[in-house]
Amino acid sequence: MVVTAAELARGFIEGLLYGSLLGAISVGLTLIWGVMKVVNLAHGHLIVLAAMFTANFYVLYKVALLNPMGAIITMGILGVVMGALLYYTSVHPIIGHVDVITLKHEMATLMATFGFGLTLFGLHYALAAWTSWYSTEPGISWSFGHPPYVMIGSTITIVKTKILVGIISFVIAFALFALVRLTNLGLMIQAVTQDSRALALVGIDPVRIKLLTTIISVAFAMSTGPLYLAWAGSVTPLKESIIAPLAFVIVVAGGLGSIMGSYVAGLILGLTYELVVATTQEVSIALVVTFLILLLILALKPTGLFGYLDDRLASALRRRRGVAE
Amino acid sequence: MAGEILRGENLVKRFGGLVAVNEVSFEVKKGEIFGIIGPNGAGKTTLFNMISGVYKPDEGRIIYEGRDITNLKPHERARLGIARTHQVVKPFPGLTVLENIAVGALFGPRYGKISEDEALEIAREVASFVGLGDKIELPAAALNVQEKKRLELARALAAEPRLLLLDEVLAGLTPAEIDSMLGLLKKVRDEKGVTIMMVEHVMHAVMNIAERIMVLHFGRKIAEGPPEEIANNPDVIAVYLGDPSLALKFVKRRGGAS
Amino acid sequence: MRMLKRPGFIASIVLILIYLVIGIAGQEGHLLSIIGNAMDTMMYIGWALALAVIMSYAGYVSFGHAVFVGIGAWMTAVTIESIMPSHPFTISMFIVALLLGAGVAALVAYAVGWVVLRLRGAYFAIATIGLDYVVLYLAIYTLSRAGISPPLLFRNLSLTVQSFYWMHFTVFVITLLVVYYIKASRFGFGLAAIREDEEAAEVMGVDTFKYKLMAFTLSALIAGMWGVPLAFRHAKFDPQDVFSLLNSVIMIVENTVGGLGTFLGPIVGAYIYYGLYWSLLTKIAQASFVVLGPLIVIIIALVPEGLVGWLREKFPRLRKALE
Ligand SMILES: Nc1ncnc2c1ncn2[C@@H]1O[C@H](COP(=O)(O)OP(=O)(O)OP(=O)(O)O)[C@@H](O)[C@H]1O
Ligand SMILES: [Mg+2]
Repeated sequence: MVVTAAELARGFIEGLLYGSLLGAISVGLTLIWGVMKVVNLAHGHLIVLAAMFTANFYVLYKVALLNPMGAIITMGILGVVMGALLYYTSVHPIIGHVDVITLKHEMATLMATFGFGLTLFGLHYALAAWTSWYSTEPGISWSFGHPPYVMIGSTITIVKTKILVGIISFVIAFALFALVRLTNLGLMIQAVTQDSRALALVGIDPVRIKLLTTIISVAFAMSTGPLYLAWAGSVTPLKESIIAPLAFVIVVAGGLGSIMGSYVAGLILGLTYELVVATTQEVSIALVVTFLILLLILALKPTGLFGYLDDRLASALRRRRGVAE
Repeated sequence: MAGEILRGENLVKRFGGLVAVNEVSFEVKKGEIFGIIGPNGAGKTTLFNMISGVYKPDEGRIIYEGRDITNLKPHERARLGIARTHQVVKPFPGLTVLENIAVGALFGPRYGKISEDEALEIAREVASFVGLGDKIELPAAALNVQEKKRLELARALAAEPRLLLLDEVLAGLTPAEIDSMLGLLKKVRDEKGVTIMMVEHVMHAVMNIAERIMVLHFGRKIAEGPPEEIANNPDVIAVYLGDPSLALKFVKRRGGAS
Repeated sequence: MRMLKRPGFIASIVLILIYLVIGIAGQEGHLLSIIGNAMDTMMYIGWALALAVIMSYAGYVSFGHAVFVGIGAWMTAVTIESIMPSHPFTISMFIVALLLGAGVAALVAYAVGWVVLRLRGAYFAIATIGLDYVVLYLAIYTLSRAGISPPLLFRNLSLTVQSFYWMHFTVFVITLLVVYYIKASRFGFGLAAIREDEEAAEVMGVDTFKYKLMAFTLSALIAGMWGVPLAFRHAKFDPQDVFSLLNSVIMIVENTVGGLGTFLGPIVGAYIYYGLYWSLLTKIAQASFVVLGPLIVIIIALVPEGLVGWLREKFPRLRKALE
């Protein structure tokens, strides 16, 4: 089997775009896990929920979520509600007033969010069973412009939707980074990990900050649901079992808690995946490689590869704005 | 006096830039009670962690019963008869008091030589020896701090160790409780011939029970000798006068003794 | 030995006798429907106990444990289609599949355990998910290289429901006895110490790494065995099906609901899961997660020790009986 240069180039570009999406999908997880030590196993289910709702409601009321931006914002808002729900059902009862999170707490929140995610998973099938309009395998196609693709050279075509997804994904990831690293709210969020008692002393309720962190994490996660849908063209509840493990790989590889670290790890993973697919024409072997990378990173460097990125970038940006550190 | 049981040679342990234990050498004789004192952060617990194998020293060697154990894992050292308690108690919270103690018996130096039933039998005896006889069926999580300290001691004793490392077992006890605990420790040493190394903040207690004392300060050994000598050592007094609360305890002990 | 007079062992024997009677009585045609349920419950108990060894006893939650069931099913396919491709079914075919399934699962766990058992908590959980996916896609890749698009349907072995039942029963008996022995022995004591406080366990003389590795390996061995009757019964090897994370989910739910750290917990959990599953069974089985999901959340938040653990705490006198 001969792989042409054009196929490789196409794999490279699509890999970067797909990686950008994967990065955006993961940044919410690295926030809640890194800052609050909550290993949110519902993360993938929440993204799938957003994708499923977008597709189903798009089919039902063609106008409401007609354009991707509308869907992203709607799902972000729904994410606020879901984040609060997640916090009060599965996080607060376990670590709401706890200062130091032990391994036992960590495992308990892991199990609780797992139960929360399972509920969302079942919800799709329940909705499908009880209503006539809800589909567990909805499809949708968003295409833009005429023609809906870009030609590079004479043989490489890239669908415009994918380019748009890649760009919006970067904007989402960077927005979360800016929110957490460059605003006062972000400083408080980070302080909650360091010392929640000190926070309480200056009159900030640590529980409020934890709630907020959860909401932000879930809102950003859910806003990527429509992007995933736009990329893949269809979604089923089972897609969670691809999205979530990928997000975990990326978060670990990116260095826990590092938002831009996760984004870069996402880029690399997307690139690896698409290049392996382009060279072998085998999706299964690309997935084997992806998860072998996870095991390797966990084995050799469980602290991740790009944990320093956020600090560097934040101080560089602050310097440019002339703010003294 | 019998020969040595433990020797530390030039032990060094660093945490990043901090040197927690700095070129400390010492020798403990078989059957003695060896006290270790020093202000907060002096490196006492770190030294115990090196002896029990939790940390590997960055430099130096540890010789136990004539054998270099520097590279042995903690469980291997436990099987050789080294048992310890923790300053911050570490019981198995979900197991009963009896089961907690039985773990010590099962996996200590008698590993493989006794059955679970025998271990539970030993645990029963040790529990009443340390005064937990009526709590054996409770989960360890249900004990108060004082009882948890006794549990730590019981677990260590159940192993029938030859060397017992006690990290502040007296802290937080009332004077009466301290007396009963000291009685207990003396009994352990006299009846079973166990060598005891004890880290303490409660100075007069160590002064009363230990045959020799080593003083650590900022990771360095600044003095070693019998209690009377330590009590009159100007370096030691200087270190402790730096800390008013400790100085008070120190003066109290000297006053009481004279 | 006192071990043989303890409630857990007696419960195992009672269970074995009950399923033996069902198996013999089930030869009568009108009892055939019970046979199906009995096989299901044996399998769910088996899965629960397999995971219990590493999750409930040693405290390491393996989220990808379906991988070992999957390996068992895969090895059954290899036995039927490659090792004994033209044999009619004989007991030896079952035994070869069982040895191969359990053996390969154990080997994989042992090798991977060297790496992943150095991780804790969520890192360990995620590593096991990663392992599940590596093997899943490897299986799909292997099949596609052989020109098969999954599922791989087995050739017709002309097996009866009764033969499936006795396969399940065999593995069930082995599982109960092995897991009970693990729980009640010194090994089980050591695992409990690791679960409660790994550092303290190590300092007290428990060879924590070796014990964890042994627990993970044995846990995989048992899960691997359960892939064999499963594959025979469904007469196919469908990677997406057997390696599905949902299978891991079931094992975790059973252990959580029943209660960690006890022998009876996972068994009780298996019955509860199966009961709920059946009573909730709608047109689409997955919809039952709408109830199971919140159940997990409630249990973790309110009774993290599970049903059996809760009973033990509430009624201290029952502690001995509910081991
Ligand atoms: N795991 C560790 N990582 C980093 N620093 C450590 C660690 N353990 C101990 N230290 C540091 O090493 C120094 C010595 O600590 P150590 O616990 O041995 O003191 P100590 O004499 O037992 O004090 P105390 O009387 O308070 O128990 C301290 O400055 C402590 O902060
Ligand atoms: Mg100390």
